[in-house]
Amino acid sequence: MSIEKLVEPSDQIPRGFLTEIWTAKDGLPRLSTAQRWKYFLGQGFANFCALPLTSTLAAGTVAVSVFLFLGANILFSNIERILVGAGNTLTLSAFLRPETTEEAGKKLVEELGRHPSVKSATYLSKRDALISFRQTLGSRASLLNGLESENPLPASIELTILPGQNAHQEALALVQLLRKHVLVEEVVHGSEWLERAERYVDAFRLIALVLSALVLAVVSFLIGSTTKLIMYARRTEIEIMQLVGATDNFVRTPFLIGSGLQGFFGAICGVLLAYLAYLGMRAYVGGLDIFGPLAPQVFFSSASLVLVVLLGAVGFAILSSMLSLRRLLDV
Amino acid sequence: MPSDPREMISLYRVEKIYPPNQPALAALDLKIERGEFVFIAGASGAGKSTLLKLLFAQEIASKGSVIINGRNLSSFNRSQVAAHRRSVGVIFQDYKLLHTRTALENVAFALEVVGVKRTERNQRAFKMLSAVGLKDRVNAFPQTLSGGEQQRVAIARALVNTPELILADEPTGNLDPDMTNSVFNLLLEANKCGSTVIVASHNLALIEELNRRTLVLDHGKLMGDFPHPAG
Repeated sequence: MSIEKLVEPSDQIPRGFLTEIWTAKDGLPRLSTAQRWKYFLGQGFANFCALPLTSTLAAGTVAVSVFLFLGANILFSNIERILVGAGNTLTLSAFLRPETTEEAGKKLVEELGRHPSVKSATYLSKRDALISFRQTLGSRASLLNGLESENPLPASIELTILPGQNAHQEALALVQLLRKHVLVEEVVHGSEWLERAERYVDAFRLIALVLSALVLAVVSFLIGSTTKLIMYARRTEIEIMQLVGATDNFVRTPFLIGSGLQGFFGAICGVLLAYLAYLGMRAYVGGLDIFGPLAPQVFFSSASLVLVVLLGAVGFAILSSMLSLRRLLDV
Repeated sequence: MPSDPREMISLYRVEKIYPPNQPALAALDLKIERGEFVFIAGASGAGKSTLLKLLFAQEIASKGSVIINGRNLSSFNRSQVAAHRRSVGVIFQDYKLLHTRTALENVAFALEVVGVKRTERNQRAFKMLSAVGLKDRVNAFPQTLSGGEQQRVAIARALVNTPELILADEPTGNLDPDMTNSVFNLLLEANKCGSTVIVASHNLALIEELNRRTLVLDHGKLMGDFPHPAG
């Protein structure tokens, strides 16, 4: 059989067919940058949906992590706000010895009023103390009837400390000073419980930080594993993509977008969960009897922090995916 | 750099040893000019597929240099390898088709990775599938196609990019004589259009019929280089 016979055009393939295609080889229109990104986004969604259960699990872990982070932030920032508020109105009560005259007491008030840590100093006579106590007791003030002649309450000096970062230390220094004073019998102050509360808050903050770091490690592992699983499910496609000349970026980008979507959806869910928790916290605090009408206002995290958390979750998911892809793209 | 501008492929003392110590090619020296149609003949295990893989940068030579268009493939970084592969159309022995995509999408896939717009890549893919006689099977998935039909989809995908180099590993292994004629008609036409074509085959009857330059490999060694009588 001759070559001519062998290459005789068949019914199916017209001779000269390829010449037309080869002539127009450079004329095929390419995707614009925007169209390319649209393509990548479509592929990214396809990757996200390729293993729905695994993707949801990864997004769920991101949601838990974001919820823990924001929840802790809301809780501690609100407690801190209350403590700072308490620190700003830090007061001391110095009870004077019974033999102290009103004149001597007022002189001491003047001296203390000039102290650099003191915002205000008020003298409270025995009589004022009884009136104040009556007001506190309200409808049960009649219990104090008969005490006017032999008032057991001591005269005192009420001091308000200047607000500031060192208010507690300054209050403590003043307490030491007053305890040594000859006219002062006893000093009562609120900085001790404040300090204890701050220590607890610091400890809980540390625990929350460690917990967040642990959850973050789990998130990184899960997102990396999800990427690997999706890559494994699509390994033939990736291999063929590379064999027909796809660049690493062309192969990698849809996977990174898929992971970014896991981070984004997870973070959105986490923020929503934290917001629900915030609403619950606000309703709970508002309903507590101990605060009465002076219940503190509960605040949600700032918009900028929420934005940082969203972007951080997306960035972290992409980074985790990038690290696991680096080892897998080798055909 | 090649001294002769017609020279497209040069191999200098190329060796390929697969781990742990299995030689596939030994001290191979070879030159192929632009626009040539070359057969690589030899029995199974002779090194035909390995040679194609080296030309395609799917494998790296253990020793020696593989130079294509004046550039040493072993010095290529990953993006240069990708660019090189985009200029080569490969017909794989195992077809390498995507089972989740239709015949049309498989052919269009080669254009997809180079960023051709959807409409144009589908039109071009449809033309190529028509050319290999699969006009009525464009929407069929590979698992529903016969071996011969799958092979033709692979051929259409290799040609759809109008590559300057076409590598075919047993491209007609599963085809009947009529379709074999059609496929070689396409390869010869692509060659006439300017593509360099290298076909690995152990079908000696076919090689004799076409009477083109033929390299004979045996146990990884070049045992003969029979030039095209008209060349």
